[in-house]
Amino acid sequence: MITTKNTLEVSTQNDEQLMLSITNGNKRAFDVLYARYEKRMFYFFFRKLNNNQEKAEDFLHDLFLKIIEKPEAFDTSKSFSPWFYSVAQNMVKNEYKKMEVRKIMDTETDTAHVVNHEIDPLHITEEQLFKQRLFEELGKINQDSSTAFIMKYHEGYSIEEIAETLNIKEGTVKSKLFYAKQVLLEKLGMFNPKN
Amino acid sequence: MDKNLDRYFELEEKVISNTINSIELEEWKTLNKGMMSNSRIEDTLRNDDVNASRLHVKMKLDAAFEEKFGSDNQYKDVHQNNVIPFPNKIRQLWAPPVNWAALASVAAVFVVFFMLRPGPSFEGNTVLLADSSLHYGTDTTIFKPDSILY
Repeated sequence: MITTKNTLEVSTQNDEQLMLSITNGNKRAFDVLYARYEKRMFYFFFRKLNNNQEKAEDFLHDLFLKIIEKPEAFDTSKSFSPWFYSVAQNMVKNEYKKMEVRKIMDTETDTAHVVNHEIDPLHITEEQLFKQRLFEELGKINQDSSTAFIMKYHEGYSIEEIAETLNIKEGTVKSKLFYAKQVLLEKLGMFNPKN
Repeated sequence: MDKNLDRYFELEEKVISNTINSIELEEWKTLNKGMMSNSRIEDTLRNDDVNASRLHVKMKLDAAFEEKFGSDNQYKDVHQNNVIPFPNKIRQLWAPPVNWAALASVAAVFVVFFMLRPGPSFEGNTVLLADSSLHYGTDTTIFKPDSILY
C-alpha cells in the first residue's frame, strides 16, 4: 500500500523533482523519468545520427547513465528538459567531431543505411520516399538548425525552450528554423505538386 | 526580416493550436506562398515514429543504478523509516548481518530468568554473620572463621 502510494506520488512529480529524488537514490523516480524521455531521446539520437539504431541506443544509454552517475550535475532550480536536450546535443556534436577526425562520415553509406532499415525498395510509396529524402536532407543541414527543427516539429517545444537548449537567442532560433525550412523546401521541391 | 519571422512563427502557433481566424489565415497563406502545401514537412516530422525495442538499454541502466544506489528495497526501507538516506555502501556498513529483534528477545528471556531466580538464603547468611560461638559444635558443615580461637 505504501509502495503504491509512493509510486503514485513519484509519477505526479515534475522532472526537476524527479531529479532531486534520483540524487537520493530513488529508483522509481528514475523509472518515471526514463519513461517520459526514453522515446523522444531515442528518436532524437536516431535522426541526428543518420538513422543508425545501434548508435542511437548506445547514446540513449550513455545519456541516462550520466543522470545515474552524476545527477547533481543538473541544477534543480532550472528546467530539466532543455538541459537534457543540450546534453544530448553536445553528445551528438562530439560524435560528429570524432567522425570528422576519423573520416568515417560517408553520406553514401548512410543513405544506404536508411534505405536498408526503413524502407523496402520494392514497395516504396511516394510518402515513404518523401520521408526518406526529408531525413537525408535534414541530416545534411547545420547541427543546431536540424536540432531546432526536430525539437520544434517532432517534439513540439516552444521557441523559448529551444533557445534555452541551444543557448542562443529566440530570434536566432527562428532564423535557423526558417533557414532549415527553406533548404528542405528547395531540396524536396520535386515532391511539391505546385512546382 | 525579424519582424516577418516573429509574425510567421506567431501565425504558425495559431495554425497548430487551431486558433487562427480567417484574416490571419489569409496572411499565413501569403507568408507561405510558394512553400510546400499543407505543411507536409512539419506534418511528416510530427507523425514520424521509430519503433524499436530498447529493453536491453533499460536493463543495463537498471543494473548501473543498483550498482550505485543499491536495490530499490533498501531505499524504500530507509525512506519509510524517515532516516536520512545514506549512500548504500555506508548503509551496508551499519547493517550487521544479525536479526536484532531475535537477539533482543533472547536477551530479554535471560534478563527475566536472572531476575526471577532464587536468591541466596538469608538464614544461611546469618550463620556466617552471627556470633559463631552460639553455634559452636552444633553444625560442623558450616565454616566458622572464629572457631579456631576455641
